[in-house]
Amino acid sequence: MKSTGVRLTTFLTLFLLAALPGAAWGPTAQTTIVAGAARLMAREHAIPLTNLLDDIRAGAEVSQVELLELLPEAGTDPINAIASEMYLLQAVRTTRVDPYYAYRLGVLGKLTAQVSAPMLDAEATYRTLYLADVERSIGGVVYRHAPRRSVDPRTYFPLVQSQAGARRQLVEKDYQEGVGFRGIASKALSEDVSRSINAVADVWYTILQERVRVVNISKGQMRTYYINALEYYIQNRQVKETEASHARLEALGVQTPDLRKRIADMFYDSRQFERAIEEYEVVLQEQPGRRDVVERIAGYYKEVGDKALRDDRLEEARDAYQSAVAADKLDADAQTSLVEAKRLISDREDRLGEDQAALDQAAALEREAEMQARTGDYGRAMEVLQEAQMLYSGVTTEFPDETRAAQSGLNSVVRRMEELRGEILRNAQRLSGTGSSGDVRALARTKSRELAEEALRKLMRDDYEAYLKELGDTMTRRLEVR
Amino acid sequence: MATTISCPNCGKVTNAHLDNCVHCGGALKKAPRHGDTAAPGRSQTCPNCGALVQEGDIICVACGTNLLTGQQIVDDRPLVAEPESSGFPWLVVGLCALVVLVLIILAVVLLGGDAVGKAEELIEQGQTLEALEILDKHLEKKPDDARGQFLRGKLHWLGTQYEHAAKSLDQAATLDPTNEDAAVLAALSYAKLGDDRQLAKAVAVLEPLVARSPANGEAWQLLAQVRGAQGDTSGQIDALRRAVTLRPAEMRPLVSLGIARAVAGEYAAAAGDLAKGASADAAAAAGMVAALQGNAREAGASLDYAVKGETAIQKEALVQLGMLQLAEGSPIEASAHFGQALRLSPGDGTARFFNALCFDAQGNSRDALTDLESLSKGGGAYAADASVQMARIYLRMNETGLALEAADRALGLGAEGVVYHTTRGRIYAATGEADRAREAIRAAIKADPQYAPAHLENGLLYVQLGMPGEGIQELRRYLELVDPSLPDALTEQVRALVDHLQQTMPASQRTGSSAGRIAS
Repeated sequence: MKSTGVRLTTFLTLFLLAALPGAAWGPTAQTTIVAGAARLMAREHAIPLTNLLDDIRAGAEVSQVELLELLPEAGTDPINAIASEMYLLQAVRTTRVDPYYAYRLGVLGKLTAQVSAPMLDAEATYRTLYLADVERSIGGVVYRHAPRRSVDPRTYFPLVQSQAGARRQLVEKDYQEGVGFRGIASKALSEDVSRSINAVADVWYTILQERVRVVNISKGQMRTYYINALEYYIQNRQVKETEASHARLEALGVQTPDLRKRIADMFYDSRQFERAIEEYEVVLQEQPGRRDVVERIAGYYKEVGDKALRDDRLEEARDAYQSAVAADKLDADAQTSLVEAKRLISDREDRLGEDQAALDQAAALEREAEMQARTGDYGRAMEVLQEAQMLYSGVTTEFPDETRAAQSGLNSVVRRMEELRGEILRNAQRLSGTGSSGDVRALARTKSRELAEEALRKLMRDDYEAYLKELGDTMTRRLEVR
Repeated sequence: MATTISCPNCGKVTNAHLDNCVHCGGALKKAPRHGDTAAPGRSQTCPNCGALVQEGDIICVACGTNLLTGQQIVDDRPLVAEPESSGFPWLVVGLCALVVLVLIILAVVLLGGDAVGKAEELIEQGQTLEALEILDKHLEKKPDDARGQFLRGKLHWLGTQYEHAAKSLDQAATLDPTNEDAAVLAALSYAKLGDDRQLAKAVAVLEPLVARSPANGEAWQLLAQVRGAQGDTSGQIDALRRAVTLRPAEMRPLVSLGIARAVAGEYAAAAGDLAKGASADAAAAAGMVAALQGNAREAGASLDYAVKGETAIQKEALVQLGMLQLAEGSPIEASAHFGQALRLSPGDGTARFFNALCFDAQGNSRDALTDLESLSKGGGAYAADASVQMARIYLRMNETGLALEAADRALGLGAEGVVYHTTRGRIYAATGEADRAREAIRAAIKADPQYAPAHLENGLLYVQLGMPGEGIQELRRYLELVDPSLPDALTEQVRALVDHLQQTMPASQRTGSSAGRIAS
């Protein structure tokens, strides 16, 4: 069922390809041809394209739409499109083949394969059938070598196309008569495929080995190429290549704030935020306060802050919100989030302080308990340890270091209490006399009352005597006057 | 044999045994006076009839007594009418005698009227004894002379002869109710005499005075003091309240009122009164009141102030400060105050006893034992308590022999109560005499079932005897009763022991034992 579905899909694809003008070779055949050309270049000319085979394949596997986006002329004048691409690639060529360059070679190889394919002018029905058969048989093809030739597309491809179309009528006839692919087509397949491989190899050879043609490649084309390269690398997260492309774009001297913004957006969309922010910052240096950039930066930092907040990384959240506010002072959400993050940090620091204080206090109590135990006051030691136990138990699990310390302290306290309990039983009779210090206090209280009452009576007596003397003196003086 | 005399009033001969003359009805006898036994010849009255005679007289014209010999010329003839035949000469003699007698009486009256003035003159000349002699003679004849009585009372008061002063002044006050000084001095003199009877007389003088003169603050205050001395605190308070009202500017009545109220147990009102008094004594009293109210902090502050101001009860204030601090669990500070008290009064048993307890609380058992030993052997109020404390200290030092000796001495000194019995129980438990220990602890719990240490010792004894169930019960009782804030309460240790004992028991017995307690 599944294989039926796959076959149906392949058929429909081929049908559509066949329906397009100039479209030939199925996707598998195209990839095989392009990859074969790459291996050929490596083997025959020591051009290490096999290292970049993935990029080449990626280029060979672009959709027809993508192909037309890169090479707009390919739909109407594919040979000219090939020529233009060859010139462009020669113009941007450096001492090494970078991945995007390999990708563009792949794209060019795909177009070359299409242009050099047989049955280009065949009736759509037969072409479709033929392409489908080639897709199934491509694995059995044997490459037939041909010497490398320098390619001038305008002369080279008509000849190739002529050779490729030489058996068209015979093949069509085979299909009409029901012989189908088993006839001429299958016998000529290796030759047909080898022709395309050689064509691709010749084109690449011409680009890579021959002197650069003096062709007027505009800066706009170059800029587009580098931007596409940049986008390619950004999407594939090839940092070094990204930077190299960026440098080349810079060297080209066509940078504008909008272009930077576009590049920054590429970074941003591929989630390379830090790099994107760097680019945005440069944009802002050139165009201070540019609203869309400011909002983008602030939005990024808010996202970072929100994520950090969700993960309870409060300082990071605070710093991110701080950056958001710094980027866009008008962003009320960022302001609110910053205040909230600061409050959460302050609250957490308070809790941390409380936990640390509890740990310190508990540790001090443990030391005190040991001192009490050394003096034989096990009861007091137990009481103190219980206090320490409560403090350790009260430490939150929010802070890992403090939580570990509390757990360790708790274990220590529990163990020590068990030891002290054992001591207590061994020394039970030593408890005799316990609690009797209250006797002295009680006695002092009782005698205090008695003493107070007696003292008041004495004061009253003294007062009486003093008054009698005082009044007596007064009266005596009065009598002496009288 | 009938004795005859000449009537001092009419001169006629009459029976000496009668009170009144049969002729004129005049009084023949003066009421006998204590101390009226002056020697013949020196007295100015006849020793036989009491009539006034002049210095140099030999025969009393009133009764015919020879003032030199004391012999009376007696007419032994029966009391019959004289025959008319005796005639004229006797009539003339009689008339002459009558005239002489009248003259004498007039002289005596005139002379008597001047006695107080003369006494005053003599006082001014510094001849107080002579003045007093004159007044005595004068008042013997004229006891209702208020002025004379007051003057004599004054002389006695100034001579600190309070008994005599009291009589004369009381008389003077009775005779002249307007003389309030006389009444106050009379009461004061009675008060100086001090005994209950005299205090009652003082009150008897003062109460009418304040009734007549309710604005006399001095009298109210004296009345209050005397009532206080009588033990009538309620009456004292009433009088002091009047005195305070009448003398609002004076501190003394207010402080006296505060003290009186404190003695009467009216602590809140007393505190209010005493707070207004700024003296050291007022502060001392306020401190004592606060101590009685259980307010140790306020008591401490007031007593500190009182001690700095050197109150009249300095020693008591220092001892009280010490006891308050000891009761609060501060033996070092307490000891400092007891030490000061002992410097003021080295023989003070209370200070020495509690100072010894402070020594012990500070770990200085040697000095504690020295002081307790002296108290124990001194036989004072703290002898028994000191012996008990010695026993406890020796027990702690594992000197069970000495501990037992001290406990025995305590018993001999009359020691009893829960602390003594518990200590004795501990000693026996330590020496392995379980039965005696059990008996002593039983007595302790009986004396005070709420005394936590007795239950602890009971529990430990059970544990020692291998009866954990009963031990747990008693130890739990201890935990219920003990004040956990005591430094040696060791509740956690006891609780741990209980837990451990629980674990050693079979599961079926863990929830509590059905066995009775030793002391139950």
